[in-house]
Parts: sequence; structure tokens; C-alpha cells
Amino acid sequence: MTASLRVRRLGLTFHVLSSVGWLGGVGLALALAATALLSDDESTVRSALIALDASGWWYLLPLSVASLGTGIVQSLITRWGLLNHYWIVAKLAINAFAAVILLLYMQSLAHYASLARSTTASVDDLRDPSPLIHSIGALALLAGATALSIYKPAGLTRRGVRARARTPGPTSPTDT
Amino acid sequence: MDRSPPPQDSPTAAPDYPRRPRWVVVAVAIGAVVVIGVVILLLSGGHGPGRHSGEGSTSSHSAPSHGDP
Repeated sequence: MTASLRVRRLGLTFHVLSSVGWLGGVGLALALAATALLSDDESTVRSALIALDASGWWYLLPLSVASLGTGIVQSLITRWGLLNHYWIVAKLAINAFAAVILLLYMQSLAHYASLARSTTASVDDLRDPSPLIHSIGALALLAGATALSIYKPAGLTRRGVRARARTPGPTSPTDT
Repeated sequence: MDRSPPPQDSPTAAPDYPRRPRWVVVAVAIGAVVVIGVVILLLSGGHGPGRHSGEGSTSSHSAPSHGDP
């Protein structure tokens, strides 16, 4: 099922917006995590951890779902298809994996924010490399997904080969 | 009893699948290692809040609500 050009471009706009927004949010999370780990000022460390939790719930998680959803829709309304090209399958796997890890990690972010609000926890209790490590991992994953979108490495899945045999067409569908 | 290969131009012949590109093989191997590592970490309980900071017993902390004195 291929939608009209106008719909495909609208879908692509939403997908790029949500994906780029997610990537930017991970960059912000990395900065906050580094601040929480390295800052000498206790109130700054506490504020960074609370902000990290809030940005996870209100920015990172919604955008990860939006990026995943718009990516699936975009593949289904264009000639690319969801499971016909390896690079699209790889992007789907990366986005789904990153979204699930983020969802699981929200528990940890809530824990760090809870510690940061607690007056009994010292600043040494708050210093933990875990948010920074997870932010770097997320950044690497999303950078990989972005590179796949740009390079679109060749390779048809078996399903793609069968689909191509049924309806022979151009090897590279238009970007939209 | 000779076996002749199926005719290539037969409509029932299976399509000739190309080999998986090398980048796919490498990506699948890396992905499998990462996923298995994550699953092992999660199942072993050696991963989670406070594991890196040495604050293992902090999960009992409850955040004071904003209205608390």
C-alpha cells in the first residue's frame, strides 16, 4: 500500500522530527548525566538528576515511541516496506531495542531522582556513572540508526526478494 | 533414477535468494551479543538502580513529596 506523495512527505516530516528530537534529547541527557557525575556543587548534582528523570518521562520516552511509530507507518505507506530491506529491519531493531531499554531504565532514573530529593543521601551516594554510560550507549545506537537512514546499504531480505519478483520495479524506491 | 534439476524458468521454482550482505552478518552478530549480555545482566540481578554507586539499600528511600515540611 503506497500513500500519496503528500501523505508520504508528511509522514517523513514527523518521522525525522521525532527521530532528530530523540537524538537531541539523548544528547541533553548525556550532558545532565555528565554534570551529575562530575560537578562539585551538590545542588547542581541533585538538580541534574531530577532534570534527568523529568526529561526521560516528558521528552525521551514520548519521542522514542513517536520515532518508532512513525518509522513503522512510514515504511508501510511507501514502497520500501517494513521487512523488505535489511537496513530498515536493522533500524526497526535498533529503535525498538533503544525504546525498551529506555523504558526499563526509567525505573533507575526515578531512583536517582528520589535519592537527589532525599536529604539523607550524600553527594557521594548520588554520583553514579550508570546514567552517563546508558546515555553514551543510546547515542551510539541512534547515531547508527541515523547512518543507516542516510547510507541505506543495499540488501533485500527473502521477503523483499519475493516481493520484488512479484512486482518488479526500481531497485531504490524514492526516499519518501 | 536420475534427478534432473528443476527448470529455472518454471513458475513454481523458488526465487534465487542472494547471499546476506556482510554488514548484515556483522550487525546480527553484534546485536546478538548485546541482547544476550543485556538479558544475562537483567536476569542475574547484577544490574539496576544503585548498583554502580554502592548504594544498594537505597531503594527503600521514598521521595518526600513537595508538600512535606
